[in-house]
Amino acid sequence: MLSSRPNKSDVLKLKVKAPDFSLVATDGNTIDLAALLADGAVLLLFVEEDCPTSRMTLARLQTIADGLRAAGTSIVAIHQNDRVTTERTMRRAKAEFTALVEGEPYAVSSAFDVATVPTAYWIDDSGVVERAVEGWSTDDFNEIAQAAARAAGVKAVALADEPPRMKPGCASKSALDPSLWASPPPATDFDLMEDLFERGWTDGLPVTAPTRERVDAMLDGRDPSLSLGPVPPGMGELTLERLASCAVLAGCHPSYFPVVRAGAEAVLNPSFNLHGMTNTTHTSGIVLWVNGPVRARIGMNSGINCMGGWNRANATIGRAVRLMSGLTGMGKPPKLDRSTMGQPGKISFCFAENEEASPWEPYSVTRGFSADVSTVTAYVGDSPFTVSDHYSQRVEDVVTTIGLAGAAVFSPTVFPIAAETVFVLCQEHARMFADAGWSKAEVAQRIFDIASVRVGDITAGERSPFMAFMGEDDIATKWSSPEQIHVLVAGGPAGRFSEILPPWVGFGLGSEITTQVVVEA
Amino acid sequence: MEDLVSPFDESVMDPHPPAPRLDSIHGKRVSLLSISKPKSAEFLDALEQVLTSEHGAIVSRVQKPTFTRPAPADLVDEITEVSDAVIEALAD
Repeated sequence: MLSSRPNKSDVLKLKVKAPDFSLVATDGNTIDLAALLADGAVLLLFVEEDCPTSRMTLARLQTIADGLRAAGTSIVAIHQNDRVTTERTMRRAKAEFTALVEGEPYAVSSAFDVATVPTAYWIDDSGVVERAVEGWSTDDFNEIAQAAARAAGVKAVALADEPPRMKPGCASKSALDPSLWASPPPATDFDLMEDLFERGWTDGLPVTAPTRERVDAMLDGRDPSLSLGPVPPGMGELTLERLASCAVLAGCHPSYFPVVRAGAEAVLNPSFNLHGMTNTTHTSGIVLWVNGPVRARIGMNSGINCMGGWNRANATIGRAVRLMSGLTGMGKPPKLDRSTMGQPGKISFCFAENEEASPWEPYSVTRGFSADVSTVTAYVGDSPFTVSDHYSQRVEDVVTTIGLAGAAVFSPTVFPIAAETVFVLCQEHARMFADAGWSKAEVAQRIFDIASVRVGDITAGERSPFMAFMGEDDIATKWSSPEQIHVLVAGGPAGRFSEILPPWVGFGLGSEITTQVVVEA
Repeated sequence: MEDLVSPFDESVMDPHPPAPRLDSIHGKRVSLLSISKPKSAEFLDALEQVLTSEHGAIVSRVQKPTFTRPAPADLVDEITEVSDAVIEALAD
């Protein structure tokens, strides 16, 4: 047997007590051998990141870790690396067992006579070394799994029968001259962007590394430990530091952070129901829009292509808030985000109202805020539903086009939906309405009136349960009241395209639109 | 490599271990939880019939106020107190 060498001097003698030790694990806890043995036998594995055999051994042993555990043996790796490197090595190997960190002068490795990494010792629960394996040997590790299973009276797990079945290891740092301890230059295959994907710190697009320096710049002196509360559905606590990490990951400039924070607070408002909107099979996601002076200060886009990216503030503020719900709140698909389809706006959906081009007061003023106060408003919405009306000359005709489109949201046959619904009017439509003397409330009332049906006209398709209690000649409206229709103005100067942002579930079960003040100090 | 600031709260990341499984539901108190979606009653009626007549379970019916929000803590406590097992019907 190449690798099981009980008679060689470069591993511990078998059937002797293993030396005790105390090392710090990657989670920061100090662990000693006695504590490990309290849980049963231990397969103690010495590894080092630069050694391919070590990395392979971590990955392969993970495949039998649960089975070994069921047979009373826990795998514990001792890494001859720093903590960050150890975490990365475990992550890349997809190894989930306990990892301990050993730095210079590698006293534990020396005490265990480790000449080669990987070296594994199977230590029974009384602390006696039963077996040793140097390098990789499929047969030797299978024999350990079988012996453990026999002792525990359970079925043995086995490693995949794949090449290489044996592979020599590398020199242990504990066996080297100290002048050789220093790590070589970073492995040429290490790529920080790939590392962030492996960590799962991303929505599927590349992210910016949240280094301490960048997070501190984002915080700009604010208290990193200040809590904004738990983030549904996973209920991770949102400290300002974690929010700043999300903002860096998303690519935000530090000047956006007050807007990101207001957006986070808006979706954490219990009325917004972040829990339900994340778990739902519906496609809706977080939609944010910004009002007030902060829009210009941070260079947001309220004009041409304002919902379509290519503006850093619009694109990254929405993304930061979504990363917060997906990472700190753990609302990632497919586990806690259960959306049947999802939609592109669930990566990022944030725009600014075009207050300058609007003939009416800003949305935030309609909501009761002063025009010189900046706000972020949060809504649970689907991807935009475009309504084109370029040639109608009468405002009654334009609003009919928009109202009929509004009647189709959620489902074209379901009346009422009774959910707050957002209509983002283009400049040209808004100006036509205003020139006719219509206020936003008047526009909403007209849309409300048009988006209604005679119950008997819905002859096919799913009907809402409410329609079962109505007469065939009764008129069913789409919303409970015109106040459920929220009107904004955004977009470029040309083009008669307005957008409806269809809602999630209504009747007070889903989400309420929430508005939060941006505090820039 | 530099240390990175995690967006995660490590303290909530470990999934809750599942409760110990029952060997049998005969004579056990099984709560059937509707989340208030349409048609869950029909589904749970059929399930209740099977559980009582074929498996000897003692079935009770409980209901969340709405499918769109988590169950209120009081309801969770109440269900926990009176149940050996819970079956949740997601429905539609």
